[in-house]
Amino acid sequence: MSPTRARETDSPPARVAIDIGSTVIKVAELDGDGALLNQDLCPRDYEIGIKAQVETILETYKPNMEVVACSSANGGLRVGIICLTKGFSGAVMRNQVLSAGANPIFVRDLDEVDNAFAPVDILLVGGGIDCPDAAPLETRLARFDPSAHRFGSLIYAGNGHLSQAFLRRFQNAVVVDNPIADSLRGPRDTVANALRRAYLDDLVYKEGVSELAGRVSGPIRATPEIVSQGFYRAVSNRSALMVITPCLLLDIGGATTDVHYTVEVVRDESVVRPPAGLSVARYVFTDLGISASLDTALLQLRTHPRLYEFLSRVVDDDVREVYRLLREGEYDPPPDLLAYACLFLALDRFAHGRGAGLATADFGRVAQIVLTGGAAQLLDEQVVSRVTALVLPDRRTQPPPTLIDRSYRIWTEGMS
Amino acid sequence: MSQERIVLGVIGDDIHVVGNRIIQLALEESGYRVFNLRARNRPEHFYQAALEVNAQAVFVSSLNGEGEYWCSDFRKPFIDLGIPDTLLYIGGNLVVGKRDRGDVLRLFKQYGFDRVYHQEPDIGVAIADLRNDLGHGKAKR
Amino acid sequence: MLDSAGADFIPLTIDSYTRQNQYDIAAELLERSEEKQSSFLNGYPLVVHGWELTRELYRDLNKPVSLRHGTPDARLLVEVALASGIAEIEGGGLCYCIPYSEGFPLDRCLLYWQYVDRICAVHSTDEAPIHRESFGPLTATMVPPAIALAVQVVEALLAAEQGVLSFAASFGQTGSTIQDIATARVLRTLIRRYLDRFDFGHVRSYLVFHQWMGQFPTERSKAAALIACAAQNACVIGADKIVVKTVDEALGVPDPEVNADAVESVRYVFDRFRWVEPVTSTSIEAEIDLIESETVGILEAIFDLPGDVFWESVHRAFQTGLIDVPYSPHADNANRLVSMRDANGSIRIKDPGHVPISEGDLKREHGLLALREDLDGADPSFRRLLHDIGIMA
Repeated sequence: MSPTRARETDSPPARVAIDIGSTVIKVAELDGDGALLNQDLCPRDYEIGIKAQVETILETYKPNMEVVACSSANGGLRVGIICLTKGFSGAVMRNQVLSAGANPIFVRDLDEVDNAFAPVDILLVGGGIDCPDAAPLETRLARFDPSAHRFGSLIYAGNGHLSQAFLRRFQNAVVVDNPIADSLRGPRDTVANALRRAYLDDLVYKEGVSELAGRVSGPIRATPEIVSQGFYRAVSNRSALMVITPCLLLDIGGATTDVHYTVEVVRDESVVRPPAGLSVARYVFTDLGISASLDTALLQLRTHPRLYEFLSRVVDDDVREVYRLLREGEYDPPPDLLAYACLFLALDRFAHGRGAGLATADFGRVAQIVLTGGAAQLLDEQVVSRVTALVLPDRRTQPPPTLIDRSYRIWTEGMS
Repeated sequence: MSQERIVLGVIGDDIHVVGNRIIQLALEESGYRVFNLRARNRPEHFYQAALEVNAQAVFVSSLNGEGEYWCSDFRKPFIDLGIPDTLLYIGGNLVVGKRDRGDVLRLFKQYGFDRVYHQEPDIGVAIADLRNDLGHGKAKR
Repeated sequence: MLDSAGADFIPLTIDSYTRQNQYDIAAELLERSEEKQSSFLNGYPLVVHGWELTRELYRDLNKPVSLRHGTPDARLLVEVALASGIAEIEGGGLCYCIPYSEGFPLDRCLLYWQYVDRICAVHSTDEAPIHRESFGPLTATMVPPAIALAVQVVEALLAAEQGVLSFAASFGQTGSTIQDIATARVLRTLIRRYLDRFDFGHVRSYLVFHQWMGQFPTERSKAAALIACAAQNACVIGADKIVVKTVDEALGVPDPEVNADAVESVRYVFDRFRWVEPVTSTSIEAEIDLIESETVGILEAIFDLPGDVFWESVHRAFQTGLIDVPYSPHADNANRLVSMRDANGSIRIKDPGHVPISEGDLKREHGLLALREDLDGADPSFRRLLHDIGIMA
């Protein structure tokens, strides 16, 4: 008998889970316990549009079946963050953007001058605790000039006492409750919740994903958030997947490479600390991917000082020739090589904390590397281990074992 | 009532939490709102927190002499961020080894601290000073 | 030496690098220690030494060896310990995380200790069970008995769920003899009651008493008196085991002779002062009633939390401050509870924070505190707190 009395008893009904990606739509039928009955991959049909295609797919299932959906189309929601300080309000907003499955593109202080802001779907402005005595934020907001930015929607998530003033200046802005409320600790999920609703609230229009609202129960969530939930189940011994922790999970996609990790892999000396109160965290490399982000990934690979070492572990024959052609920009790498490249670049940057807001990992502590997503299906466990060995600290000779999620279990379990 | 806001924390790699918690309780008992950063802080944690909460004062403790390493020019970022009048207090075992008390006080005043308590066991002294300093208006540092 | 001094079990304390899973640093320091003939480690690097050497070390000893460490992720350490023949494993998902770690996520720690409990269960037989023991003193700083007891019962249940057959609950000397007697009584009752209630009646339970874990007096004469009184309290409460301090406690890690002396003096008290009848009084009975009511309140609130499995409810209890350990270094500890000593030195709850203490119980706590406040007059409470923490020093 378990000491826990109050169980969440109403287990969900059988349902269809859909993942709308840029190139494929993934469909899975789940039973009441969330177990996978069957699944299917359908290439996207841009002629008929997303709504019609999903309806066609659903015709093969019982009409009354519940449908849950997530989307990673266009590589996810791009969010720019403008904050009072990067250590507090900026970090809290960034972590919430990540936990909602969206992509923080930049984090800037309100006073930071930069002429090269990348375009974003949502510009998030915040800072300060909820407090009427708010001079530092007030003076900075007065100087804030949004015309320097290219964005779809504007969200204010700062000191609640200044939200009316913000709305007077920017009538189209959306105001959400201050995530740090009146203390620096114990953040509220207000920003994450706003982003979760974003597709349906029409804050962003991602090729008509919001048109699906009527057919889908619950919000259409971002795929990385689903993967993150599946990962949490896996590391909590509550998955069909046998995962050994501490570990990290990589999801290599067309536009981005996501890393989800148990926070024990972070070095004690890491300047960036994982978000408070969480045991798993996510980071997204928005410049690593095998299709939409091919150019940026390739550029990094070509100029990487350990390119030759990397190639010698991945390419079967004529490493010198591949190396030469790659360096000269005359080589069109196959998708599997690109996926290994994203894996290598992501691990290498994680090992050195090279990325804004990225913690530094200690690969000496990693007990397993898990790979999921479409690109992972192209990979071989032994080659992955050889690539992983490149980022190990000197004291460790054996790379951690690799587990490739060949039946998208992480995603399925995240959906259930 | 809008309480005066104090940022509190231990600087460096010290993880001494009992003293830190007592200081928090003592400040709260005197009517202040305390934002406790607890152990293992760097200077940027203090000035960033001070900006976020618009603090009247910052209380830094250092128990194993790490203060000297971390605190040089402690005031400067507060000036750069436009909060030059924040009261800066520091206490604890501020330097490694035995040093002349007057030298230690001068050193940390030079770093930009308003009040320096080297090996002063009674937090009551600092709280009385704080009440006094805040009563005179924080501009009259 | 402890053996010949009359110790009934031999503690094996693990070095701090091994506790942090930094086996490579432990190996390096061990090598340096052997080169320089002087120890660079503050404990035994069990994982680096390995099970064969360790088994050899204890081969001729016919007393149980008890593993004491403070490790959040003790999976490998305990595997090596069991392989070495060590049959007593101290620790737990709560008691080895909240007081010891600044940032180790509690849910991870609970899962790692679930593994430890399970391997202890797997290697147990009815005749030779692996004993699991919790660490009740927690931060050893003003922890109200109800908090310590709730943690003990939770860890007993978590261990029993994994199949552990022998479990020792423990607590640290409170600083008040009344409270020590009451705490022991409630702890015994509740561990048994809850194990039985959830069908773990077959699990054997024991009671361990830790001598004063707070700041020790620097003078040896006072330290000796404190140790003797603690031994006396252990007799009175009928502890199954007592963990002993030394007269040099305030000075750091004691040498073996001093350790042996401490065991001998405690043995002396045990042999000369025997207690047959339970000691009681109206204030002890009142204290028992209060601690039991509070502990049951906290436990029932934890059971009521949502979660598919028990550890999830426990994790949530920590996140929401239902379990709040004073002076914990852990970043996620609520730190809302404020405790203080009453007139007889018992630890009282002044402000429960989010810990579910009923209005009636809180009134009783405050009533007992009020007697003290009359004595102390207008002294601000932080000064009294400092006094309360260092009461024995």
